[in-house]
Amino acid sequence: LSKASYTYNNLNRDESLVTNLCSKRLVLSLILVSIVTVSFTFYLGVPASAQNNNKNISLANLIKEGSPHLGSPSAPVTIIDFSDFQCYLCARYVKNTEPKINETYIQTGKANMVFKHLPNRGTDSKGAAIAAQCTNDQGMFWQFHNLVYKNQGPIDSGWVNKDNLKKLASKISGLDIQKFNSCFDSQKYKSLVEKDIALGASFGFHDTPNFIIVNNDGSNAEIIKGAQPFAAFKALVDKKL
Amino acid sequence: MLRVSFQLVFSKWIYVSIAIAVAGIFWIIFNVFDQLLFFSPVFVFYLPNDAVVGFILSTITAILMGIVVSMNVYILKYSGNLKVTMGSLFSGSTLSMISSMCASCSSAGFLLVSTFGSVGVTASAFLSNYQIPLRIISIALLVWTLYLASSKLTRSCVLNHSVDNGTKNV
Repeated sequence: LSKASYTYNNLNRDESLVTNLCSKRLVLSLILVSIVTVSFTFYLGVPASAQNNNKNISLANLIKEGSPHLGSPSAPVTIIDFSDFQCYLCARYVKNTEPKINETYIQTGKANMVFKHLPNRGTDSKGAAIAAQCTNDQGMFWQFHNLVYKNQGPIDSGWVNKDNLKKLASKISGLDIQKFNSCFDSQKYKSLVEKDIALGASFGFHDTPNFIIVNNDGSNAEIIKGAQPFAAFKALVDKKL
Repeated sequence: MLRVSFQLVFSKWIYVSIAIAVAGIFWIIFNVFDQLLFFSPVFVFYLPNDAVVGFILSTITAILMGIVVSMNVYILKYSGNLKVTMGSLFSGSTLSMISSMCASCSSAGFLLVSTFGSVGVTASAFLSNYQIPLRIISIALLVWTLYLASSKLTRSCVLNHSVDNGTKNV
């Protein structure tokens, strides 16, 4: 009888241990679900922040600041692109969406595009941004931009270290490599890149790519978060035309 | 073994519903983090060529998570002991989530970088560069969990024939 009672007590204790274990698992599950939900919401973001930002993002001001731009300066809509050369989603956008935007809106004079640097994916990102800005001095930014994205490698694997950036720049026909090297070595555009990062942060951009679709005079700004397909850009640009 | 456990669990509609709901939720989460599914400014799903492999792997992961979670709920109800399967379920699902969130150029990656500095940069870069292998590992962990859950469900009552003072223990 005592043995049976001992076994019964043991079973009860085991059952209680199992119940405790399950409760802990359930709490952990709830925590995990909460983290996922918060991250999810955080990621989706609230585009309304663009309306409350007092920064001057008119095309005239962006050009004055030295930002690379593409298309007619008199186009009614401006697409401001915040990207990092090491971000593979930015490369996805350049490969899949940008050509359609270029063909539909830039080439037809309906919109223009401005590039802003948001280098945060790796330690080599800032160097790539400065190098790209140096090519803009010679009017070769978009050639360099396309070349870098075409040759994109794994983050911080050395594909955009100083030597490789110079090699990439040397492949652009018509670029004065001496001038480029001088600009790049002196880190001439370090402060411009940092200003771009600060501007991005003022819109709540910490990830890449992000876009602001705005009227030429800087009014009525709307945000597109992520490497979205052409349909998303079409919806906002057409609304402004 | 797998067929028997599937018949056992998914003969009841409630477990089919749980599996579909969990798989659906995780499919949405994975595709939002992979920037294939967007809700704003327009609801759109698109699959560029460079994302096909990742999409297939994340879809497999979401389906496996639905099946495994549903099986675990069944085990919890009828057996109460989840000790064996929960570890691998959590490691598989967490790894899959992390590889999606941090590898994309998303806020989660930035959070990692801003919180942990240069170590965060390295971790974020690692997760980005090895996203596909990490997803394969997470699928392997979930398949292992599925195996454990199935074997738990199909295990028959085992009789312990050891004779101890003339009694037979069950």
